[in-house]
Amino acid sequence: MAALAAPPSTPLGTRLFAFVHPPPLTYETDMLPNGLRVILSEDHSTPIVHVSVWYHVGSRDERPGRTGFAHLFEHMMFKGSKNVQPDSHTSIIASIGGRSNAYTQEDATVFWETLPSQYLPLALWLEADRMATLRVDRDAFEKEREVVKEERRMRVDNQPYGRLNEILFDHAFTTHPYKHPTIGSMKDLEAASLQDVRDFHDTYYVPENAVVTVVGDFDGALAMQLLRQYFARVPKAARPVPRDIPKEPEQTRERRATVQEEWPLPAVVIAYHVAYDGHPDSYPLHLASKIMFDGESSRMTRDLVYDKRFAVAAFGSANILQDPNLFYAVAIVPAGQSLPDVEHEMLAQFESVKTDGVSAHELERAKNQFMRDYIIGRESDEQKALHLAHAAVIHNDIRTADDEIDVFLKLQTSDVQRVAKTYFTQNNRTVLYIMPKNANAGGRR
Amino acid sequence: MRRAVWVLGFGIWALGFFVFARSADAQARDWPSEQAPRPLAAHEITFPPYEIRMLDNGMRIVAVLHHEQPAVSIRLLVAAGSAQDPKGKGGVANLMASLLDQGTASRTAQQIADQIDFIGGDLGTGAATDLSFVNAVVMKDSFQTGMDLIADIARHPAFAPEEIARQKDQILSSLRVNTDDTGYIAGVVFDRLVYGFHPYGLPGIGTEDSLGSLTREDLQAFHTQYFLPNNMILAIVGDVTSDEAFAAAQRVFGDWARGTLPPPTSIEPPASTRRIVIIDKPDAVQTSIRVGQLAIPRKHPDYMTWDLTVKILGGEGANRLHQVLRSQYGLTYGAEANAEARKDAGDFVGETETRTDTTGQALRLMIDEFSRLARERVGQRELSDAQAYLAGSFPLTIETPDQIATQVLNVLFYDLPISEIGTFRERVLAVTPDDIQRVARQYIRPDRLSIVLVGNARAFVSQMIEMGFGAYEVISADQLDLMSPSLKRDRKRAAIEPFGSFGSFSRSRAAYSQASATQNGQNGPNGSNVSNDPNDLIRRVVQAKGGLAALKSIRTVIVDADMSVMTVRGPTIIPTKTYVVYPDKFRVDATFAGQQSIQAYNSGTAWVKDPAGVSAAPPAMRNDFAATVKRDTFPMLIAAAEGQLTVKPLPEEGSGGAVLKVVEVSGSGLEPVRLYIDKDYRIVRQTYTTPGPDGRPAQAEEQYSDYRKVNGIDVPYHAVVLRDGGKILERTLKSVTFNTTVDPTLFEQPLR
Repeated sequence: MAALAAPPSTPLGTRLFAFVHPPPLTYETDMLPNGLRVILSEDHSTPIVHVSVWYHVGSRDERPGRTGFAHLFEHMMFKGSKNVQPDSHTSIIASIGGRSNAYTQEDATVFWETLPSQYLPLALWLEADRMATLRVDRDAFEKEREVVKEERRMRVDNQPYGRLNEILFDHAFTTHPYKHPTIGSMKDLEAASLQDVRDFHDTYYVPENAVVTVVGDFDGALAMQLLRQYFARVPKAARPVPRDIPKEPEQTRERRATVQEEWPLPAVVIAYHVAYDGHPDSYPLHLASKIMFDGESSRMTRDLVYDKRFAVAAFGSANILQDPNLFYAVAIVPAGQSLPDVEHEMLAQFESVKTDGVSAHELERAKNQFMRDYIIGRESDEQKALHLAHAAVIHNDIRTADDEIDVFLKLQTSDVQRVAKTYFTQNNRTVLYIMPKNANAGGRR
Repeated sequence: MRRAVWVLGFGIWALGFFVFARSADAQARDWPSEQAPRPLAAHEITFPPYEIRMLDNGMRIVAVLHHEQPAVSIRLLVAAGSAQDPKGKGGVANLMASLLDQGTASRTAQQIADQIDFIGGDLGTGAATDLSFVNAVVMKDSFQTGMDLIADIARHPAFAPEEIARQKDQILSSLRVNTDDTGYIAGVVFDRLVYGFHPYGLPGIGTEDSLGSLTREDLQAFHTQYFLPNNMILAIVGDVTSDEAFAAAQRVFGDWARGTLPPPTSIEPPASTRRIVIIDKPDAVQTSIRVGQLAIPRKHPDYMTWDLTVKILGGEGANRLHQVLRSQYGLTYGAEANAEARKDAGDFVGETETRTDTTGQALRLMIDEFSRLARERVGQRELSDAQAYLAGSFPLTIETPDQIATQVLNVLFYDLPISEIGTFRERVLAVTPDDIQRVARQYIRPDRLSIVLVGNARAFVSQMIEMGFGAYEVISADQLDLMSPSLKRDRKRAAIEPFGSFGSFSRSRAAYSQASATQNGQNGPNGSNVSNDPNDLIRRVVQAKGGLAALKSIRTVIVDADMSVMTVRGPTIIPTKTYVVYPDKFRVDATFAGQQSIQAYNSGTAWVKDPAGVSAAPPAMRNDFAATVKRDTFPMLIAAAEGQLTVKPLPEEGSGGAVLKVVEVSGSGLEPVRLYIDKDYRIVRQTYTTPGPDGRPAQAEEQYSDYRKVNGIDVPYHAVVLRDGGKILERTLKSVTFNTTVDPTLFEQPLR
């Protein structure tokens, strides 16, 4: 048993990368005269097709007083267009055995359909119809705003730890729109007007701000013909898409705060500002995040949860977005532990990456985990479309969808230590203690 | 050609309309009006290749071959989960499963973590209701390592004491976080209502008490009894050949001897009965609502039809609940219904989350949809849409290797014919509206629904009353005890009533007491000396009210009244009619939200009718009705005057410049009631203790005024009812009649 148990470390380690490598994605791209970019990737293994439309607009494009608008608007895209009745988009797709939905992130808003492959024309036609001609109806708008408020209550306000992100980003940012959550505030949602909806559609839901990706079981030439047929007639925007997003000034002093929330157990949060998506530093930061948080053998989990039992859960991530965001760590602290002790231990883990670096074994583990994410993250048409569209929209270079693998595989332990030294500094840090409001929360069941 | 002309004509009309409506929108103006495009030719759907074999020891192996990505998923499924937890050992399966990867005879927890993480793998262990599992994903060239790990974990777990302590701590912390989650609470309380003390009714994670009692021996016993190769299915899915898969399974599991499984000990779940439970969580901003009842297990001939029926109510491709609650009313982000069909039994549940001030409305709309589905035949078109979704989406459910494996595992696990996978679409499309109607009538019983609401109860109970739901229990979230029949923790203090644990039925109590209020007070003998003897005081009160003989002559009372209830939208007027036949029958009819509602008490039994139908009142409500009958001023004064009750004098109290005499009446099953008597020997106020909205004792107070004579009896035409000092309703009498004949069948529980 013991012989079999030995991990295939050194002898197999290098071979692993050469041997297990995800097949590259095959795709074609094109741009229509109105500026719409399209990506096609054929996969005939199952008779289904996935269509996504990425609009390069998210909560990053929102201004104070108008938070939550990109997401509210995403909901409005289901309220009908010239040839589609309100609320019927989803039911039309469902009635042919398809699924559809949408989501809004900081940097982009994504609409998608997965459906039996013979219905590809339907999905493209539906998406073009709402890109060109959104219906704007006051009654529907006001009702939908209530739905979004329910969504906020469900996901954020009525959920233990639901406000964690909101609290963190509000404290860590001063200026950049990443300061506010995508869902927005109740107050701003209330203030949104019908005119805002119209303006938003005219400004951001235009062909040159969108990428249509089709992955699955289709004939490439036919799909391209359908894309032209339905999307080429969408008019160009009257004006360029605005990109005047305020920059976050460099943080020059450590930020600290203690916040009270209706939470069952307290939390300690530590965050550092880091580089944007595509920056050379972003890749070693991803690996640092794996070494610290991915799996039970990761540093933070083993130290805080397993060895010292300072936390019932310790998690974190390099939140790498289009503009510089945060590398953060969270510990949910059991009753009876002192928060300063927990903070001290978490900081020691960050310091250790800076001063001692990471081992070759850890680096190899992180790369293997990264490869796993690549491989099992490309099983479905939807996942493949996500990687392609992300590369095209956020990196503005679709080749990164495959090429990033090699960037990761070339990284050295010194790269990880270097970015740790660059970013994990006291002045660049935000430390939060989040305490349960209920004083005896620790004693509650 | 004719068609082209028509399309053109339509286009011009549409153009004009849009110019008028949205002159600024050039895009919409120029955009053609057109129908959705027709589909292309459909491609054939073939189920991907898989093979099933059995090892000599009875372990079944499923190999699904899928070579697109260089990864393999390994899933070991054990046919025992929390449903097999021994009595009093809740949480064994869950704790046992959480410890599987925390150390074996030859690997420490840290070694296991190091090994799986290093090879870029993923490992998961856990328990569900009917099964436990060990899952791993590994890259193609780590397949053998993955198999070795899975086998070691499944066969030789160490259950080291320090790891047990660690996992218990983790689970206790999860429990604590869960108790802050309205959705979680709603789910476990719903299961408990539907399945009672059947294992499906108990939380798989265990309770604080049960977890505390679990020992290493309990974990080992569970593992020894159920982790047997002949009780397992292993799926190997991905970039391997079937020979590689079966050889690896034989290598790591082939020498494991089969064993004898313990006989099943499961009990029958209880028959569906109506129960509405509100869990009070004052900090909640949304209410989690769960509505449903017992239905059928997975292996039941009606399953396909039933699943489609529930999908029409609240599933993908149809979803009446979503349509009404979200699209039509904007009350929620989502609403759905699911047929939860498990091995032994099944249920169905409708669920939504809505803001506090729309709780009553959302519940009412949900119940209406349940009733409509049971009552009205589903149209062919609506059914066809639901069928089209279910049949059409089949290829979407066999896209990835794990999805394919799930299809095969389901069939094996639930012991269904393997041919079911190939005939899925045909079976979906064969269902007719008549089939739907048959199962809807058979399994949806709106009068026997279990209903759970978790949220800020104080802020929404008035909506329950307004929407016609009077028969509910309110339990404070921190008093919730799933292991108690009453769902409440036992209180050490003397209980207010025998069951000690139920909430307020403010509407019934208040509505009924309008009848009792008719018997209060009468003009007393002016200026007579006031005696300090409490019995003398009672005699004077009786005299003032009309005299003992007159009171004793009353056999029936009928009252018409308007009840004003406080709701979020301000006071709402509810017309009511109350019938009383002494000594122990009453019935209150009310009309609100356009629907009749009844609460009745008939010599020891009680029933209610609300928007979901007629049902027996829960025991706590029945007891509450009985207490209300005892507290009725009429029989209470007669009994007191005839020496059958204890009358205790209390210090006088001042009130608005007047001095009120106070007595406390009790005995013979009557909990103490304080009567406040004015100089005219009228009762102007009475107070007593009653279970409040959270089940804890609340101070009840009723204030009487506007006394008028009816057949020589002094009757207060206006009353205000308070709980813990807060006004909950007012009532104004419109007419009062005594001793009219009342049809005795009015008090009997009707069939519907």
